[in-house]
Amino acid sequence: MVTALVMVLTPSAPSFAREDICTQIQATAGMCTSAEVNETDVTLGIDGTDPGTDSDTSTPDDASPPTPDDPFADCIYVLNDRCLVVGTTRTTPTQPVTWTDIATFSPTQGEAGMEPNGWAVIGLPTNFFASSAPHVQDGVLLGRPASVRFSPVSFHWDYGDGTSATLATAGSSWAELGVGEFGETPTSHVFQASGNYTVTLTVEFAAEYQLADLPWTPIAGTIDIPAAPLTLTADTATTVLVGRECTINPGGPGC
Amino acid sequence: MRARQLPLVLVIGVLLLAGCVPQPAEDPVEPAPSSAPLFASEEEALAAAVAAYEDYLKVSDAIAADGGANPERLKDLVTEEWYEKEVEVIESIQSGGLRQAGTTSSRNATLQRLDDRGLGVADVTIYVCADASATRFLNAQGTDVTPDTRNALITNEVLFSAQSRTKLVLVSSSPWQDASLC
Repeated sequence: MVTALVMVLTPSAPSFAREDICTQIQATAGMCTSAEVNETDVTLGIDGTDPGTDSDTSTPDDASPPTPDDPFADCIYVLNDRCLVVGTTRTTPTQPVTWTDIATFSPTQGEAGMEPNGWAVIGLPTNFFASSAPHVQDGVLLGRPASVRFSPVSFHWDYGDGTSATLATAGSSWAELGVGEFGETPTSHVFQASGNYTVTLTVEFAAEYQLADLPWTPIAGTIDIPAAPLTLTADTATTVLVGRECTINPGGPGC
Repeated sequence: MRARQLPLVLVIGVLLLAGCVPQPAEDPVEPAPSSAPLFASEEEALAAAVAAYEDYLKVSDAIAADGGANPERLKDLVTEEWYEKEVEVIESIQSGGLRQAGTTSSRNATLQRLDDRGLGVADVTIYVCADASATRFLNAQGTDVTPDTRNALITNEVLFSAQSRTKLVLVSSSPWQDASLC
Protein backbone atom coordinates (compact mmCIF):
# COMPACT_ATOMS: atom_id res chain seq x y z
CA MET A 1 0.00 0.00 0.00
CA VAL A 2 2.77 2.38 0.92
CA THR A 3 4.70 1.40 -2.15
CA ALA A 4 1.72 2.18 -4.37
CA LEU A 5 1.35 5.61 -2.77
CA VAL A 6 4.98 6.47 -3.39
CA MET A 7 4.66 5.48 -7.02
CA VAL A 8 1.68 7.77 -7.46
CA LEU A 9 3.44 10.74 -5.93
CA THR A 10 6.67 10.23 -7.81
CA PRO A 11 6.44 11.06 -11.50
CA SER A 12 7.82 8.57 -13.93
CA ALA A 13 10.44 11.08 -15.04
CA PRO A 14 13.97 10.11 -14.11
CA SER A 15 16.01 11.95 -11.56
CA PHE A 16 17.20 14.78 -13.71
CA ALA A 17 19.94 17.18 -12.80
CA ARG A 18 18.76 20.72 -13.11
CA GLU A 19 20.67 23.12 -15.34
CA ASP A 20 20.40 26.86 -15.91
CA ILE A 21 17.30 28.50 -17.31
CA CYS A 22 17.21 28.91 -21.06
CA THR A 23 14.72 30.43 -23.46
CA GLN A 24 13.70 28.44 -26.49
CA ILE A 25 15.33 30.91 -28.88
CA GLN A 26 18.49 30.51 -26.86
CA ALA A 27 18.26 26.74 -27.19
CA THR A 28 17.45 26.83 -30.87
CA ALA A 29 20.40 29.12 -31.56
CA GLY A 30 22.67 26.87 -29.54
CA MET A 31 23.07 29.57 -26.93
CA CYS A 32 22.32 27.35 -23.98
CA THR A 33 25.70 26.79 -22.51
CA SER A 34 24.18 24.16 -20.31
CA ALA A 35 22.89 22.16 -23.23
CA GLU A 36 24.25 18.69 -23.31
CA VAL A 37 27.23 18.51 -25.63
CA ASN A 38 29.08 15.44 -26.66
CA GLU A 39 32.55 16.84 -26.43
CA THR A 40 34.09 14.11 -28.51
CA ASP A 41 32.10 15.42 -31.47
CA VAL A 42 33.43 18.93 -31.15
CA THR A 43 35.63 20.01 -33.99
CA LEU A 44 37.60 23.17 -34.25
CA GLY A 45 37.40 25.46 -37.21
CA ILE A 46 41.08 26.21 -37.06
CA ASP A 47 43.85 23.75 -36.42
CA GLY A 48 47.16 24.69 -34.99
CA THR A 49 48.50 26.13 -31.83
CA ASP A 50 47.49 28.94 -29.62
CA PRO A 51 49.75 31.94 -29.97
CA GLY A 52 52.67 31.58 -27.70
CA THR A 53 52.25 27.90 -27.00
CA ASP A 54 53.99 25.05 -28.64
CA SER A 55 52.42 22.08 -26.93
CA ASP A 56 48.75 22.65 -27.73
CA THR A 57 47.90 20.51 -30.69
CA SER A 58 44.21 21.50 -30.58
CA THR A 59 42.93 18.09 -31.47
CA PRO A 60 39.20 17.51 -31.04
CA ASP A 61 39.90 15.97 -27.67
CA ASP A 62 41.30 19.30 -26.59
CA ALA A 63 37.97 20.97 -27.16
CA SER A 64 37.18 21.03 -23.50
CA PRO A 65 34.85 23.60 -21.97
CA PRO A 66 36.33 27.07 -21.70
CA THR A 67 38.85 27.42 -18.95
CA PRO A 68 38.69 30.22 -16.41
CA ASP A 69 41.59 31.87 -18.22
CA ASP A 70 39.80 31.75 -21.53
CA PRO A 71 36.08 31.74 -20.76
CA PHE A 72 35.02 32.62 -24.27
CA ALA A 73 37.33 30.34 -26.18
CA ASP A 74 34.42 28.65 -27.95
CA CYS A 75 32.02 31.55 -28.02
CA ILE A 76 30.55 33.02 -31.14
CA TYR A 77 28.51 35.68 -29.40
CA VAL A 78 29.33 37.29 -26.11
CA LEU A 79 26.83 39.57 -24.41
CA ASN A 80 27.44 41.35 -21.14
CA ASP A 81 30.44 39.15 -20.41
CA ARG A 82 28.36 36.03 -20.89
CA CYS A 83 28.87 33.49 -23.59
CA LEU A 84 25.57 33.21 -25.39
CA VAL A 85 26.58 31.14 -28.39
CA VAL A 86 28.96 28.25 -28.20
CA GLY A 87 30.36 27.39 -31.58
CA THR A 88 32.81 25.11 -33.23
CA THR A 89 35.05 27.90 -34.39
CA ARG A 90 37.02 29.54 -31.69
CA THR A 91 36.18 33.21 -31.57
CA THR A 92 39.75 33.92 -30.74
CA PRO A 93 41.52 31.95 -33.44
CA THR A 94 44.21 29.61 -32.29
CA GLN A 95 46.43 30.78 -35.13
CA PRO A 96 47.11 34.39 -36.01
CA VAL A 97 44.86 35.71 -38.73
CA THR A 98 46.88 36.63 -41.81
CA TRP A 99 46.32 38.81 -44.82
CA THR A 100 45.46 35.66 -46.74
CA ASP A 101 42.57 35.05 -44.33
CA ILE A 102 41.17 38.50 -45.03
CA ALA A 103 41.75 38.33 -48.77
CA THR A 104 38.06 38.98 -49.37
CA PHE A 105 38.43 42.33 -47.62
CA SER A 106 40.30 45.18 -49.30
CA PRO A 107 40.98 48.73 -48.21
CA THR A 108 39.46 51.62 -50.04
CA GLN A 109 41.92 53.20 -52.41
CA GLY A 110 43.42 56.48 -51.24
CA GLU A 111 43.19 59.65 -53.29
CA ALA A 112 46.05 62.01 -54.10
CA GLY A 113 45.68 65.77 -54.33
CA MET A 114 47.98 68.67 -55.06
CA GLU A 115 48.24 72.46 -55.01
CA PRO A 116 48.42 74.13 -57.43
CA ASN A 117 46.26 71.63 -59.20
CA GLY A 118 48.04 70.16 -62.23
CA TRP A 119 51.05 72.45 -62.30
CA ALA A 120 54.11 73.36 -60.31
CA VAL A 121 56.53 76.26 -60.21
CA ILE A 122 60.13 75.24 -60.47
CA GLY A 123 61.95 76.05 -57.28
CA LEU A 124 58.79 76.59 -55.24
CA PRO A 125 57.04 74.03 -53.02
CA THR A 126 54.16 72.11 -54.54
CA ASN A 127 51.80 70.85 -51.87
CA PHE A 128 50.77 67.19 -52.09
CA PHE A 129 48.27 65.54 -49.80
CA ALA A 130 46.41 62.26 -49.50
CA SER A 131 42.78 61.58 -48.66
CA SER A 132 42.65 58.33 -46.74
CA ALA A 133 41.16 57.64 -43.33
CA PRO A 134 40.57 54.52 -41.22
CA HIS A 135 37.55 52.60 -42.44
CA VAL A 136 35.75 49.37 -41.61
CA GLN A 137 34.55 46.63 -43.94
CA ASP A 138 32.11 43.90 -42.92
CA GLY A 139 32.24 40.39 -44.27
CA VAL A 140 32.98 36.81 -43.33
CA LEU A 141 36.22 35.75 -41.73
CA LEU A 142 36.90 32.14 -40.82
CA GLY A 143 33.30 31.36 -41.63
CA ARG A 144 31.93 33.86 -39.15
CA PRO A 145 30.61 37.40 -39.48
CA ALA A 146 33.50 39.75 -38.98
CA SER A 147 34.74 43.27 -39.54
CA VAL A 148 38.13 44.38 -40.76
CA ARG A 149 39.38 47.89 -40.09
CA PHE A 150 42.01 49.36 -42.40
CA SER A 151 44.11 52.27 -41.21
CA PRO A 152 46.64 54.18 -43.33
CA VAL A 153 50.02 54.16 -41.64
CA SER A 154 52.29 55.74 -44.26
CA PHE A 155 52.16 57.53 -47.60
CA HIS A 156 54.76 56.89 -50.24
CA TRP A 157 55.10 59.58 -52.90
CA ASP A 158 56.96 58.97 -56.14
CA TYR A 159 57.30 62.42 -57.65
CA GLY A 160 58.28 61.20 -61.07
CA ASP A 161 61.48 63.24 -61.07
CA GLY A 162 63.66 60.50 -59.68
CA THR A 163 62.89 61.35 -56.09
CA SER A 164 60.41 59.89 -53.63
CA ALA A 165 59.41 60.22 -49.99
CA THR A 166 57.65 58.04 -47.46
CA LEU A 167 55.71 60.20 -45.05
CA ALA A 168 53.77 59.42 -41.90
CA THR A 169 51.30 62.20 -42.46
CA ALA A 170 48.67 62.47 -45.15
CA GLY A 171 49.11 66.22 -45.46
CA SER A 172 46.51 68.93 -45.94
CA SER A 173 45.79 71.88 -48.12
CA TRP A 174 47.59 75.16 -47.64
CA ALA A 175 44.39 76.71 -46.36
CA GLU A 176 43.85 73.99 -43.75
CA LEU A 177 47.45 74.30 -42.60
CA GLY A 178 47.30 78.07 -42.53
CA VAL A 179 50.22 78.27 -44.91
CA GLY A 180 50.37 80.73 -47.77
CA GLU A 181 50.43 79.62 -51.38
CA PHE A 182 53.70 78.01 -52.40
CA GLY A 183 54.58 77.72 -48.74
CA GLU A 184 56.48 74.69 -47.49
CA THR A 185 54.44 71.93 -45.80
CA PRO A 186 55.36 68.55 -44.30
CA THR A 187 54.23 66.97 -47.55
CA SER A 188 55.38 69.52 -50.12
CA HIS A 189 57.92 68.87 -52.86
CA VAL A 190 60.03 71.16 -55.00
CA PHE A 191 60.57 70.35 -58.64
CA GLN A 192 63.91 71.47 -60.00
CA ALA A 193 63.35 71.18 -63.73
CA SER A 194 60.61 71.96 -66.13
CA GLY A 195 58.66 69.15 -67.70
CA ASN A 196 55.67 66.91 -67.35
CA TYR A 197 55.64 64.66 -64.33
CA THR A 198 53.51 61.77 -63.12
CA VAL A 199 53.25 61.65 -59.34
CA THR A 200 52.18 58.37 -57.75
CA LEU A 201 50.85 57.94 -54.23
CA THR A 202 50.90 54.54 -52.54
CA VAL A 203 49.15 54.21 -49.19
CA GLU A 204 50.36 51.61 -46.74
CA PHE A 205 47.48 50.15 -44.69
CA ALA A 206 47.52 48.22 -41.45
CA ALA A 207 44.52 46.04 -40.60
CA GLU A 208 42.68 44.79 -37.56
CA TYR A 209 39.85 42.28 -37.40
CA GLN A 210 36.91 41.86 -35.07
CA LEU A 211 34.82 38.72 -34.60
CA ALA A 212 31.42 39.30 -33.01
CA ASP A 213 31.75 41.81 -30.21
CA LEU A 214 35.28 40.88 -29.24
CA PRO A 215 38.06 43.47 -29.17
CA TRP A 216 39.86 44.48 -32.33
CA THR A 217 42.90 42.35 -33.01
CA PRO A 218 45.75 43.56 -35.24
CA ILE A 219 46.91 41.56 -38.22
CA ALA A 220 50.66 41.35 -38.65
CA GLY A 221 52.07 43.16 -41.66
CA THR A 222 50.70 45.83 -43.97
CA ILE A 223 49.44 46.15 -47.51
CA ASP A 224 50.31 48.82 -50.10
CA ILE A 225 47.47 50.21 -52.20
CA PRO A 226 48.35 52.68 -55.01
CA ALA A 227 46.14 55.67 -55.65
CA ALA A 228 45.31 57.12 -59.04
CA PRO A 229 48.41 59.02 -60.32
CA LEU A 230 48.60 62.80 -60.70
CA THR A 231 50.04 64.47 -63.75
CA LEU A 232 51.47 67.96 -63.66
CA THR A 233 53.54 70.40 -65.62
CA ALA A 234 56.40 72.18 -63.93
CA ASP A 235 57.71 75.44 -65.31
CA THR A 236 59.23 78.70 -64.30
CA ALA A 237 57.26 81.69 -63.16
CA THR A 238 58.21 85.34 -63.38
CA THR A 239 56.94 88.00 -61.08
CA VAL A 240 56.13 91.26 -62.85
CA LEU A 241 54.65 94.49 -61.76
CA VAL A 242 51.41 95.21 -63.53
CA GLY A 243 49.08 98.15 -63.50
CA ARG A 244 46.02 96.19 -62.52
CA GLU A 245 45.18 92.50 -62.31
CA CYS A 246 45.72 91.05 -65.78
CA THR A 247 42.40 89.23 -65.59
CA ILE A 248 40.65 92.54 -65.20
CA ASN A 249 42.82 94.56 -67.55
CA PRO A 250 44.52 92.14 -69.96
CA GLY A 251 45.82 94.97 -72.11
CA GLY A 252 47.42 96.80 -69.23
CA PRO A 253 51.15 97.33 -68.79
CA GLY A 254 53.02 94.10 -68.13
CA CYS A 255 50.15 91.79 -69.08
CA MET B 1 -44.69 17.62 25.55
CA ARG B 2 -43.76 21.23 25.13
CA ALA B 3 -41.68 21.16 28.29
CA ARG B 4 -39.80 18.13 27.00
CA GLN B 5 -39.07 19.68 23.59
CA LEU B 6 -37.36 22.85 24.87
CA PRO B 7 -34.32 21.12 26.36
CA LEU B 8 -33.84 19.17 23.14
CA VAL B 9 -33.82 22.40 21.14
CA LEU B 10 -31.34 23.89 23.58
CA VAL B 11 -29.11 20.85 23.31
CA ILE B 12 -29.17 21.04 19.55
CA GLY B 13 -28.44 24.80 19.69
CA VAL B 14 -25.54 24.27 22.05
CA LEU B 15 -24.14 21.58 19.83
CA LEU B 16 -24.45 23.82 16.78
CA LEU B 17 -22.75 26.68 18.61
CA ALA B 18 -19.99 24.36 19.72
CA GLY B 19 -19.48 23.41 16.11
CA CYS B 20 -19.07 27.08 15.18
CA VAL B 21 -16.43 27.77 17.77
CA PRO B 22 -13.17 28.42 15.87
CA GLN B 23 -10.61 25.74 16.38
CA PRO B 24 -6.89 26.49 16.38
CA ALA B 25 -5.62 26.24 12.80
CA GLU B 26 -3.20 23.41 12.18
CA ASP B 27 -1.14 25.54 9.79
CA PRO B 28 -1.81 29.28 10.13
CA VAL B 29 0.36 30.08 7.07
CA GLU B 30 -1.62 27.84 4.79
CA PRO B 31 -4.51 29.85 3.31
CA ALA B 32 -7.81 28.11 3.24
CA PRO B 33 -9.08 27.10 -0.20
CA SER B 34 -11.47 29.70 -1.48
CA SER B 35 -12.72 27.81 -4.51
CA ALA B 36 -12.49 24.54 -6.32
CA PRO B 37 -9.25 23.54 -8.05
CA LEU B 38 -8.74 25.01 -11.49
CA PHE B 39 -8.18 21.69 -13.15
CA ALA B 40 -10.45 18.73 -12.90
CA SER B 41 -7.54 16.35 -13.20
CA GLU B 42 -3.80 16.13 -13.70
CA GLU B 43 -4.44 15.12 -17.28
CA GLU B 44 -6.33 18.35 -17.88
CA ALA B 45 -3.53 20.40 -16.33
CA LEU B 46 -0.96 18.63 -18.47
CA ALA B 47 -2.98 19.23 -21.61
CA ALA B 48 -3.30 22.92 -20.78
CA ALA B 49 0.43 23.20 -20.14
CA VAL B 50 1.27 21.43 -23.39
CA ALA B 51 -1.00 23.79 -25.30
CA ALA B 52 0.63 26.80 -23.64
CA TYR B 53 4.08 25.45 -24.39
CA GLU B 54 3.23 24.89 -28.03
CA ASP B 55 1.98 28.47 -28.25
CA TYR B 56 5.23 29.64 -26.69
CA LEU B 57 7.32 27.67 -29.19
CA LYS B 58 5.25 28.95 -32.09
CA VAL B 59 5.69 32.59 -31.13
CA SER B 60 9.38 32.11 -30.28
CA ASP B 61 9.92 30.60 -33.72
CA ALA B 62 8.11 33.49 -35.38
CA ILE B 63 10.17 36.12 -33.56
CA ALA B 64 13.44 34.34 -34.31
CA ALA B 65 12.41 33.91 -37.94
CA ASP B 66 11.90 37.67 -38.09
CA GLY B 67 15.40 38.26 -36.77
CA GLY B 68 14.11 39.23 -33.35
CA ALA B 69 11.51 41.75 -34.49
CA ASN B 70 8.53 42.51 -32.29
CA PRO B 71 9.45 40.48 -29.22
CA GLU B 72 6.38 41.85 -27.46
CA ARG B 73 4.48 39.02 -29.10
CA LEU B 74 5.67 36.91 -26.17
CA LYS B 75 4.32 39.21 -23.50
CA ASP B 76 1.00 37.44 -23.05
CA LEU B 77 2.62 34.04 -22.91
CA VAL B 78 5.30 34.51 -20.26
CA THR B 79 5.80 36.32 -16.97
CA GLU B 80 7.28 39.79 -16.91
CA GLU B 81 10.54 38.47 -15.48
CA TRP B 82 10.84 35.79 -18.13
CA TYR B 83 10.00 38.30 -20.84
CA GLU B 84 12.99 40.41 -19.79
CA LYS B 85 15.23 37.40 -20.28
CA GLU B 86 13.66 36.71 -23.65
CA VAL B 87 14.32 40.29 -24.74
CA GLU B 88 17.95 40.05 -23.67
CA VAL B 89 18.43 36.97 -25.84
CA ILE B 90 16.43 38.41 -28.71
CA GLU B 91 18.59 41.53 -28.68
CA SER B 92 21.65 39.36 -29.08
CA ILE B 93 19.98 37.74 -32.09
CA GLN B 94 19.34 41.17 -33.55
CA SER B 95 22.83 42.46 -32.86
CA GLY B 96 24.29 39.35 -34.43
CA GLY B 97 22.13 39.78 -37.50
CA LEU B 98 20.79 36.27 -37.02
CA ARG B 99 17.49 34.77 -38.03
CA GLN B 100 15.96 31.33 -37.66
CA ALA B 101 14.78 29.06 -40.40
CA GLY B 102 12.43 26.19 -39.58
CA THR B 103 10.26 25.53 -36.57
CA THR B 104 10.63 23.89 -33.19
CA SER B 105 8.39 21.06 -32.05
CA SER B 106 7.70 19.40 -28.72
CA ARG B 107 6.76 15.91 -27.64
CA ASN B 108 6.56 13.45 -24.76
CA ALA B 109 5.36 15.94 -22.18
CA THR B 110 4.85 14.55 -18.70
CA LEU B 111 3.46 16.21 -15.61
CA GLN B 112 6.13 16.78 -13.02
CA ARG B 113 4.05 18.65 -10.44
CA LEU B 114 0.63 20.21 -10.08
CA ASP B 115 0.03 22.70 -7.30
CA ASP B 116 -3.69 23.40 -7.53
CA ARG B 117 -5.16 23.98 -4.11
CA GLY B 118 -8.22 25.94 -5.06
CA LEU B 119 -6.62 29.35 -4.60
CA GLY B 120 -7.71 30.59 -7.96
CA VAL B 121 -4.27 29.98 -9.46
CA ALA B 122 -2.24 26.86 -10.03
CA ASP B 123 1.35 25.99 -10.76
CA VAL B 124 1.90 23.35 -13.40
CA THR B 125 5.35 21.94 -13.99
CA ILE B 126 6.04 19.62 -16.89
CA TYR B 127 8.94 17.83 -18.47
CA VAL B 128 8.88 18.12 -22.23
CA CYS B 129 11.20 17.38 -25.11
CA ALA B 130 11.86 20.42 -27.31
CA ASP B 131 13.08 19.41 -30.75
CA ALA B 132 14.93 22.12 -32.68
CA SER B 133 16.56 19.75 -35.15
CA ALA B 134 14.48 21.17 -38.01
CA THR B 135 15.80 24.67 -37.40
CA ARG B 136 18.93 26.46 -38.52
CA PHE B 137 20.30 29.86 -37.66
CA LEU B 138 21.46 32.07 -40.51
CA ASN B 139 23.52 35.23 -40.44
CA ALA B 140 22.82 38.40 -42.39
CA GLN B 141 24.53 36.92 -45.44
CA GLY B 142 22.34 33.82 -45.27
CA THR B 143 25.20 31.63 -44.12
CA ASP B 144 24.24 28.83 -41.77
CA VAL B 145 25.95 29.70 -38.49
CA THR B 146 24.19 27.08 -36.38
CA PRO B 147 26.81 25.83 -33.96
CA ASP B 148 27.76 22.24 -34.66
CA THR B 149 27.78 21.63 -30.93
CA ARG B 150 24.17 22.69 -30.54
CA ASN B 151 22.03 20.14 -28.81
CA ALA B 152 18.84 20.29 -30.83
CA LEU B 153 16.98 17.88 -28.55
CA ILE B 154 16.60 19.23 -25.06
CA THR B 155 14.44 17.96 -22.25
CA ASN B 156 13.08 21.00 -20.46
CA GLU B 157 11.45 21.40 -17.11
CA VAL B 158 8.88 24.12 -17.71
CA LEU B 159 6.92 25.84 -14.98
CA PHE B 160 3.62 27.50 -15.83
CA SER B 161 1.41 29.67 -13.70
CA ALA B 162 -2.26 29.12 -14.49
CA GLN B 163 -4.79 31.85 -13.85
CA SER B 164 -7.52 29.79 -15.46
CA ARG B 165 -7.90 26.47 -17.21
CA THR B 166 -6.82 28.03 -20.48
CA LYS B 167 -4.62 30.94 -19.39
CA LEU B 168 -1.16 29.66 -18.51
CA VAL B 169 1.96 31.82 -18.60
CA LEU B 170 5.47 30.42 -18.71
CA VAL B 171 7.42 31.20 -15.56
CA SER B 172 10.67 29.42 -16.33
CA SER B 173 12.20 26.80 -18.57
CA SER B 174 15.30 24.87 -17.63
CA PRO B 175 17.12 22.28 -19.69
CA TRP B 176 17.87 18.99 -18.03
CA GLN B 177 20.78 16.78 -18.78
CA ASP B 178 18.74 13.64 -19.06
CA ALA B 179 17.45 13.39 -22.60
CA SER B 180 15.29 10.31 -22.10
CA LEU B 181 12.16 12.20 -23.12
CA CYS B 182 13.78 13.06 -26.43
